[in-house]
Amino acid sequence: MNELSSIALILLLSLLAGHLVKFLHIPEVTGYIIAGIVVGPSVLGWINDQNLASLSIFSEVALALILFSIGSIFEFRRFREVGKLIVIITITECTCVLALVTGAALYLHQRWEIALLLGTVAMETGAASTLMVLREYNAEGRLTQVITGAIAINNLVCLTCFLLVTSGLQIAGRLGMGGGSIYATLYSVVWQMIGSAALGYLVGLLLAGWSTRVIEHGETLILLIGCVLLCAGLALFLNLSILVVSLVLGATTANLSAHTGRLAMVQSRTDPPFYAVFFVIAGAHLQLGLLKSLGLLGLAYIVARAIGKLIGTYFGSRLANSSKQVRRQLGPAVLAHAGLAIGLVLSLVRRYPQLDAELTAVVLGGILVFEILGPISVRKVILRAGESHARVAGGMEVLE
Amino acid sequence: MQARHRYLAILAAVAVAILVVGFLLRPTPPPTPTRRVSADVTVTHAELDNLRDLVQRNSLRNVAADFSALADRVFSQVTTVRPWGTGAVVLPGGNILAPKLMGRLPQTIVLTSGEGPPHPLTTANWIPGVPFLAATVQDSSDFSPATLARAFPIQGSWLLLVTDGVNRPALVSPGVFSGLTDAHCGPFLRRQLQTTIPLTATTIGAGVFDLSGNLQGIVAQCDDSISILGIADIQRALADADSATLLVRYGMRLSSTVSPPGATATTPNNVLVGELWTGWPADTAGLQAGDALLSINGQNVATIDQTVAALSAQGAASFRLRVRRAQRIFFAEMKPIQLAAPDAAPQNALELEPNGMRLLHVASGSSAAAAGIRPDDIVLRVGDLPATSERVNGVLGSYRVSAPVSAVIWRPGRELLVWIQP
Repeated sequence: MNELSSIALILLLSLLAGHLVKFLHIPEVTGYIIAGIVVGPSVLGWINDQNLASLSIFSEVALALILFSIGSIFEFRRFREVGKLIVIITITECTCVLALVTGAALYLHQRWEIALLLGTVAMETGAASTLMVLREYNAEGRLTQVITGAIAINNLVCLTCFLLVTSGLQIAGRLGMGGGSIYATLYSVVWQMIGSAALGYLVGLLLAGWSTRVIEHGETLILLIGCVLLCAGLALFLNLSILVVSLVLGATTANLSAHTGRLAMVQSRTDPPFYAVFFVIAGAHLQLGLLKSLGLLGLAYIVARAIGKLIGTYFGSRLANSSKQVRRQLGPAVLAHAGLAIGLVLSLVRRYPQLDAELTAVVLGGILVFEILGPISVRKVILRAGESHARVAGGMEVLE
Repeated sequence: MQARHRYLAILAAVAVAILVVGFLLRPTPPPTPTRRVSADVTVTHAELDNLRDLVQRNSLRNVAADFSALADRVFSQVTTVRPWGTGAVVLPGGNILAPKLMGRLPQTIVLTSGEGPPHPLTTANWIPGVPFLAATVQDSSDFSPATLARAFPIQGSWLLLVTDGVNRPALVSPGVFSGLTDAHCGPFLRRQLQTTIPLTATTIGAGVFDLSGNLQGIVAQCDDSISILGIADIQRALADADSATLLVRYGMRLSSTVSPPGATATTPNNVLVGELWTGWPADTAGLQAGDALLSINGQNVATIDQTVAALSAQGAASFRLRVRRAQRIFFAEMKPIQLAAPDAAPQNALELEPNGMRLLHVASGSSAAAAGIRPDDIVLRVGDLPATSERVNGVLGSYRVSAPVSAVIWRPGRELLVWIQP
């Protein structure tokens, strides 16, 4: 199948899956992922590995768009309200997950460096799928705000920890051959964080400044997509982190642009096809066969991560004196696991192929489970918290 | 407002500076690993880097001294297998892992440790498909057990192959670990260690140790190739086979009966003979599939585990089994496979070979000669059974056989199945 046909198939299938899952009362994103698994190489094979490789550009764009929207949580006014709370919760939650997953892997006689890497990757919360569910149910409210912020901070913490852990292990010579010199290792950490922030800020400045000059919907859309693509493209060229660049782009725009609302609305009216393609591709990448090879370590990874997320958010919320609602319901809302975790594991395995056998099956198997259960869990939390606001059918949206 | 713009502009200038400086200071990418073939071994860039690092940190003399010190330390953990002189490794608990050659056992195995006396093998677990024999000797205190590695080595680290030999000098050979690959060596084993250590037939059975002195793997013959198999996989293979069946020593598989309602776990008589191999000890003892084993040497057995434990008793020449078949209870005498003594082979007609018995003479006009068997052929099996001197003499030694019998013989380059007619 050529690329155009596979995009068409993906779009139509995602629409169909979205309709079907409504009967089962599960989020559309889960439907997209399941549709991806079904048409992907591990089941029907309608979309093969070659198609997936050529469609990866869509994934990059969709991920950049998703993170751009999450970045708006760093708008100074909003962040002042919930910033301290989500930082405390996220750090507690990440620490719990790291400790439990690492401990479980050590208990199962894994090498300590492998255990530590598993613990670090397990910290990640799937930003894309969680945000999609929030958007599908038009979620709004205190809990939604905390969830969004917790995901943004979580991804930054996870990426930073991962870079530090891999650099430490590399310098200590625990990862074997495959890495570079100490200078290259340290450079990578600094460049990925500071360089990415610098690029995101510069493009954000451009977007915020130019957005005052464009009025029409079409022009706004061109500007927005152009800036997001510029970020993603330059990040790939300069070997920067798309995650950090897009988050900083979103944050800069939210703080500096007087037209944030219009940009967000234009984005929400434009990006559904990107998201549909993104999640179907993400599903197609997941291999059902991994479930068989998960083994005891895979099960321990899943259980320890889930417990770590639940306990960590609970104690973090208590520590931050948050409301009872946040304390009880934040944990199940941050179970999703994908995007960044896949990227981290694959980048590590590309550099150190000898880690493939020990890491890939466990993490990707865990992602398969959490990526299906995570969005369902977020939906339940949002409905229970009463923060779902049904969209008005046929309602008019007014541009500024 | 202007102040705000000024701050934003300063921040933008800093961001540009970061990007420019960062881009200019980027490290040069490492060279793409390529393989270079030398006369003896294939060396990757990673391995060369590792060697260079090692040499920079220590002089070559020190490296050699390190290896020698390690070899001295681990030599006692490697024993010699006769008659073929390859190595064997002693595991904690006294089990000795000896390799099979061409997938077969020798007829006689004697283990020697250092200058100590030779130890004839008393029991041997012969597991089909596993290229190792798990053996024990009557007194294993002369052998030093190896310390087993708990994890695979880091890629690029050094490994040391150590083997001892009766008819050749001891061998110490260092090499760099370059990764793991899937091994297709029998039904159980999965991973083999890739190294730059040259492997030949003389290294089969050698122990491969890491620089901490832990046993990482053992050199084995897998089909036509020689590989280093990870110790954990070997142990798992042996454990799987041992716990699942008693095929190993007696050619007998056990199964449990379905306990009647109300029965407890210790309800007796629930161990059944499930499968038998013709000609193996259980079959020779007269057991049949479906027989229930009641006791072994007077000790009641109610579970498969108890049966395996009782039949694994060391040093027993035979076992007296109480067996129930339908409504009849009887006793059967079962003898473990006894390995022939080295001098059992008549020297004038047969010669012991690692994998069978070499025929020195074939009487012209005999059944064997008529079947195309020639002097210097090595008899591997007689019928379904391994070729012992007794069996070879009994069948091929007689001028005329009384009934058709098959034999598998090895003639340089190929294995042949021949039918010997009366």
